[in-house]
Amino acid sequence: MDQEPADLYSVLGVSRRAAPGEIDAAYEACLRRIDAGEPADEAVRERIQYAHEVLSSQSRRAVYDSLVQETAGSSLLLDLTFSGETLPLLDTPQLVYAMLKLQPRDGEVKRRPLNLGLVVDRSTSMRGKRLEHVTAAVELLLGKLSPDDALSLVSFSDRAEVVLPAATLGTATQSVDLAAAWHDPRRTLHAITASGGTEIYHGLRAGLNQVTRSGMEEHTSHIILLTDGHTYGDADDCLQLAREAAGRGIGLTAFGLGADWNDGFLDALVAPSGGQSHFIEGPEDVMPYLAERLQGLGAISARNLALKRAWPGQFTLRGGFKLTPLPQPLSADADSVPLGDMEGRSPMTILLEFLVAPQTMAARYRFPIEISYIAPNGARESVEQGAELIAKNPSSGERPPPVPLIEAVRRLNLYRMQEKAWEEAQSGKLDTAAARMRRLTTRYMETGDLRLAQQAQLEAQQLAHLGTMSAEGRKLLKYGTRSLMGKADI
Amino acid sequence: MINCPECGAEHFPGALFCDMCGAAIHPAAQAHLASAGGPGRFPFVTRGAPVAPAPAVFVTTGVTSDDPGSGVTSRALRVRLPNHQTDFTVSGDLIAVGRADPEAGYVPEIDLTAYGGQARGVSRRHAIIEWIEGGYVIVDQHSSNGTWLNGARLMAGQPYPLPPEANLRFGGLLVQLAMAD
Repeated sequence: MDQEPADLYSVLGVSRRAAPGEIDAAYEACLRRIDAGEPADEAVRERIQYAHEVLSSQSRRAVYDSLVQETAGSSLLLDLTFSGETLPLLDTPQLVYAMLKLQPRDGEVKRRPLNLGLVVDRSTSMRGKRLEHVTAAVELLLGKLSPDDALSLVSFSDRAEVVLPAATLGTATQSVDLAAAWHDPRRTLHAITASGGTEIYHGLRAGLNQVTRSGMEEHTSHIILLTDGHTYGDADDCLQLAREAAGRGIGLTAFGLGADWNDGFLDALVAPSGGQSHFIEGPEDVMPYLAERLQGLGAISARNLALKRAWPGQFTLRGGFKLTPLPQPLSADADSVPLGDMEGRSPMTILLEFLVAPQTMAARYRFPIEISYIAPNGARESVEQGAELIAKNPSSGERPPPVPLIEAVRRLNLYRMQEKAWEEAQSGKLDTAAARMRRLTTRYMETGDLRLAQQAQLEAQQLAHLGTMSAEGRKLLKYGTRSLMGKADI
Repeated sequence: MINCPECGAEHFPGALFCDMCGAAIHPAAQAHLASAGGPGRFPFVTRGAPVAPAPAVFVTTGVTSDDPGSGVTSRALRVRLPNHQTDFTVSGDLIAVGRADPEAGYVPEIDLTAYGGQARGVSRRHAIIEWIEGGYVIVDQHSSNGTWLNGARLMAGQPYPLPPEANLRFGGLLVQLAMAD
């Protein structure tokens, strides 16, 4: 790493907001100290000279400030790139893409204790292998949690049951109220039997009640929902509850097991908290997914990230997608866009698509991207990066969009194509859906994703012959294409 | 509005790909797909995280590549510092830009020490220029003061295609690069 003293302000010992007079005075004071015998080699002198040169010129100081802005103050770093900085003059709307990369600034991530609420489906369809694997995964989880972590487990079918009431693991057996359930948690777990329908609301409500009890302010509170079916008649209530949880800073992860659950619903459920939804193909995959989730939650640095709508009214956010660490569509219609938590050292990358109102006159737009979050120390912070977009007639030699952005948009389009094919199949436009699936087959071949290509080909045939897509194929393509978006970024 | 060259669907200007058929619409997207090659070839993913290049001792020698994957060897780059009346040529598959660090035995191919690099905010390991699949890309190595290509700041750690003629700014130092020959 370079040891360069990057900050010209600190060279002169003035604040960033120093007035021009203060800068001159500080510069002269530096020179006087050197004249008076303070040790300073040629490099130090040059540095002082240079700092004064830059900071005393209004225009050079502005350039310098814009360069170092990102290194000031906040505990997250934000990088911002646009597909282009010029908006050609047009009488139609146009698209512009932005890619954001957030990274924690400090090396160290202090582990916060977890307050985890598991909400597990025990409807009839979970019977057998599914429930066995889930129980085994929860057992494993018990072994992996720390004594200061809290855990609760709720099972639900058409009604909910608190299997393990919320307790801090290290002290669970000491409390009289909790001792019965926590005396032998493994045995309690194995007593869960599967029967009944799927009504997620009851489970989620009971889970939220467990997670929101007091004394958990220092914990990372999170609910993990595991289901294998469509919820019955209470979807809107569930979404309302998800918003309530998000409002209290409680994250939500949803796992869909098998092929018969409602992916659109689970996406909507995790959106208010910027959480994750996953497709678990077979019951044996429950354990690795849960373990990975636990690891991520244990390493949370900044929390409750949200993108503020600070850009000019000429720009409409048309779509947003989190690319890394885990690809997830973002809800673009909220006042601020919830982005979830930063987990570990891995960067968070966001792709945004804006529709720009027709530009008929030359104009300059300052385009700020502002992200608010709760810093590891609990303080509300925000990080901002601005770009300037210029509406004018394009000149030659403009910078093309960076390759990672092109790749991300490419994969976003694949995702949209398979979503569209699904919608078309649902609304009976079978020929169009089949044609789109065939095109997708080619595109997956191009990206080198042979499994997805094969699946798309199969679905195209299914659509042509049976007039429907398979539920498994639908999930495989949707979540498979989604995960491609994470790979597009480096 | 613009039309997809493959399926004819209408799109807003600025669209990179067609969301009806997946074809590339934007010239840069088309060029990218052409350079990324056939199925499964996406050189930028497999390359891994950017790493500082190995110490090199050449400044103006023609290091040719025999990378079996590329088939095309890297071309020489002419380096011009407009404010220093300096002009030299470098070549190789990996060209480092920065300032020499004698103690670490590090000398980048484009060493900006002699041109006020330090005062102008050039980092020791400032950027790398890499020959990939028949073209150069430039990657800022998380330099303190950034790299600018034709007036636009590059996102650190991300590869950008280097046009045949480019005005670059490393921190505050202007450098013009052009494909020789």
